[in-house]
Amino acid sequence: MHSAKTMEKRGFAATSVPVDGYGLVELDELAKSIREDTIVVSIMHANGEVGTIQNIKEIAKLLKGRGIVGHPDNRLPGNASFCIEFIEGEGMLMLLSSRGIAASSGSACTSKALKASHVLTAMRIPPEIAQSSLLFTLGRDNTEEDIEYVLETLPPIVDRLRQMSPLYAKFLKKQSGGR
Amino acid sequence: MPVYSDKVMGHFMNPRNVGEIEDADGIGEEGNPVCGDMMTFYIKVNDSRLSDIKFKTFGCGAAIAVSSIVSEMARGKTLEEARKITPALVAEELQGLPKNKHHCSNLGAQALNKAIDDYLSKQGKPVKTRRREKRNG
Repeated sequence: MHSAKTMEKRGFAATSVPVDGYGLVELDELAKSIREDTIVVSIMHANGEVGTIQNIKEIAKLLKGRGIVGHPDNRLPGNASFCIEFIEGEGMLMLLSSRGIAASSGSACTSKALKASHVLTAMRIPPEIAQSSLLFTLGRDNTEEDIEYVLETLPPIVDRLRQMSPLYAKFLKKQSGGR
Repeated sequence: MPVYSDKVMGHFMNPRNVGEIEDADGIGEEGNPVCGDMMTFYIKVNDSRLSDIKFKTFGCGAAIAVSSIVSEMARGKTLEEARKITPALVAEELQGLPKNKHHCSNLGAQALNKAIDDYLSKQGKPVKTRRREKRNG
């Protein structure tokens, strides 16, 4: 993204192509965005935050024979991204951390700028849901037991924060047919 | 994650007065989930004193700790005394808040004030206009 902005400053034109709710590049939009004078299409092959893997094969088909260089960027580490409704990311991170689990979040509160992740925003995830983003990444030292431990530890943390959440209380009332 | 004081961590890990009061005398809601923080305070008033106070909060560690300490600071106080709980006092009581979390202490004080306003208006009493605290966030 920063590279494209730099190129724009140097007189090139750049177009951002939207993604769908899963973070996949919208191929129709991409096809429409390609111009006679397009020289490069840069795609983040795998997104490091939400784990979306782009359909590079289809994208390459669009570019074939048009003198355009494809530029797939990035490779995917083992990651799993969730949004857990009605609670906020930082609280989850703090409780996970107290149980020895390191994770990250794209919530506004966890960022210095107090802004939700631009990746989630581009995926048109509603801001109140983006607040509950939670991201786990696997490193080479992680074991299956580690994953089991997270699966045991996370649900009570979610319950605990939901019990405190006015949004969850409202949701439950709505579910039961109340106000 | 920001570095929080021991007091913030203590209140976050073990928040006091979480919950709702079914027959609350006043309810105050402040903040917005879109911005990342929302607090709801419930109060019971007896002889112009806050005889009970509970809260529910959607938000970060600081927001939860602020709600908890505000509930402790306000419990048993007269309405006039509770009005004097300012964001600065809340932050001080929590041994400080990171710079970008000061808006959480504003929310806490505002939500409590709104609950008091709600009580007063339900009683048909005049709701005092008060100086609006400047928001940081």
